[in-house]
Amino acid sequence: MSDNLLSVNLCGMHLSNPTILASGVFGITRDLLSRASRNGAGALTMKTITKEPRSGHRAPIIVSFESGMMNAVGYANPGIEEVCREYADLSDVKCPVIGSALGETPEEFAYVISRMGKLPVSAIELPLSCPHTPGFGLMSGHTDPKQAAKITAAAKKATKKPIIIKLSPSIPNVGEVASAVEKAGADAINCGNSVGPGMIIDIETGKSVLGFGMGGVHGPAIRPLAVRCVYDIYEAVKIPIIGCGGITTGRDAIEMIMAGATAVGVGTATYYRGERALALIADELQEWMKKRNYKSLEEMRGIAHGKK
Amino acid sequence: MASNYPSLKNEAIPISYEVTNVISESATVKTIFFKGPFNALPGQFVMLWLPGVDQKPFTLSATGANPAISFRIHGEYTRALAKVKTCDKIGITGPFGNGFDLSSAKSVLIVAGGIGIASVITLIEQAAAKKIRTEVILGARTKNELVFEKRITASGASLHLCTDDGTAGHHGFTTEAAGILLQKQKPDCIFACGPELMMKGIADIAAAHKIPVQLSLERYMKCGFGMCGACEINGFLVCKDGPVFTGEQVATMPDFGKSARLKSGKKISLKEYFSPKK
Repeated sequence: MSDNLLSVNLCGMHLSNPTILASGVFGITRDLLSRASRNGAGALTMKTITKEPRSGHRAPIIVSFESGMMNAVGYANPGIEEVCREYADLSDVKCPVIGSALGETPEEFAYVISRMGKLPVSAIELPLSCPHTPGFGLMSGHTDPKQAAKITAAAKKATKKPIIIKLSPSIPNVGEVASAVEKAGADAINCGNSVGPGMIIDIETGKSVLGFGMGGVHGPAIRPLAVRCVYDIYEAVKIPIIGCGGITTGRDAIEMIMAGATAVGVGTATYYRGERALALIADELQEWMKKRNYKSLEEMRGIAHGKK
Repeated sequence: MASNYPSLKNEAIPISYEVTNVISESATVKTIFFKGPFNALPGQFVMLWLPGVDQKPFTLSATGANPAISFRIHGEYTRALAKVKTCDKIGITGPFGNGFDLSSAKSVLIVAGGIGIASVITLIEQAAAKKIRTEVILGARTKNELVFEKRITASGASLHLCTDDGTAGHHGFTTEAAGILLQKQKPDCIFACGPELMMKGIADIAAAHKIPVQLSLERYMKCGFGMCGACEINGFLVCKDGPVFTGEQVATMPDFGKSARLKSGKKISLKEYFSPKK
């Protein structure tokens, strides 16, 4: 893969290609991050870490439907203390690693971030947008512009590493929230998380399938929604955007970049295309750029806005 | 490029099956039969969803027209499972995983400890049906906990029993019984499923005798198809890369026989992991 055509600088991180493994998918242990890095990702996002260990929601935690998936993992993680041990050495991970930190309050966010900042992660992402876990994200008002700005400001004080705020395509005023966190010092926006919550009912038993009863909807079904959100955010802020939501092929990545994304998050595509989904997407992206004679991602970024 | 859009598979959703029969194999082991056909390779597993309770992995103890899962009652989930009755609906996702590989073996040794027999019973029956010389070592703590003896002997396999307390067969562990058997004959391949320390012992014996070995591993599993990462062991996913691993593979897993991850992902010692649930 020709490095310079796809390479991108995101908050000082050098990515060999713009694909980033989304948080919570596959790479949830140090050894799995290492494995994922050998499968061609531009960067990897760690699973989300809280102050205390969490067992997460009951299974089923991930289910499929005709045009996507739903999950309600419930932030299962061993807690920041344990994570500081497991992830202390990431030398065999061959691409930048983005940490993911979560708290219920700005103070708790700051605590987890200050500890995580000492790990060999290149940036820290804060999911303010989970649609299915009480105490967090959409279920606790984290995406209210004022609260989001407060959390961002606390995060910036807790570490010198770049802070990425992960928003939800479920928020109608996503541009407004993005603008608020940019003013509070955010270095980038990720849009976004799964949307919803949604629900799938097994008609034979009449019971909701996910263990938590409801969950975030992700995958191809939400792609147009995510693209529009990235488009709105690009209008509202100057900081870089990671576009995430249903990206399955190189074509989908191109669409997201044209809406204004600097890099693209990929998660559900690993279900459809296997572990090498990110490399396949990067290859298809590059092939198309060559065919159309694009010399860099920069040339097509945001062109849907008609400004370039 | 649009024409290359991958087909969107939709296999990660439970399908309801009607329970046709429930039988008690012993005081603590039950088998739930459900309406087939349901096909899977020996060693492959399904995720079994009990609506409103949880979802857990089980290897099928029977496949085809009358498929079944067998389980030992030992925790909250299996206690709920033990209450399932004929005509109830259970949700099944799968089959998942790789399964055992009999390939060209002419003679095999299959070692099962405790409820581990449920994961190898269809392998035993398939091997014996293929006229492969099949020796089975079946171990349990005590005589009353031995299950599937009749199915094993009916298959044509030779059965060697062993109990920790000496109430049936060899008085001692399956690993000792395997050591004794291997002094008399050398199978082309050894298969094992049971407590991890037993499998570690079998892997060591197989290595010492230079016989290929396949082991069915267990780790806390949540999704079953390689997305959540919960069942990771040293970079391998038990659900997707396994659950059956070769002796060479487990030799590269420092955690094999030593530690496992809790639901949260926290790694603890195997002893702590398998200690009785409160």
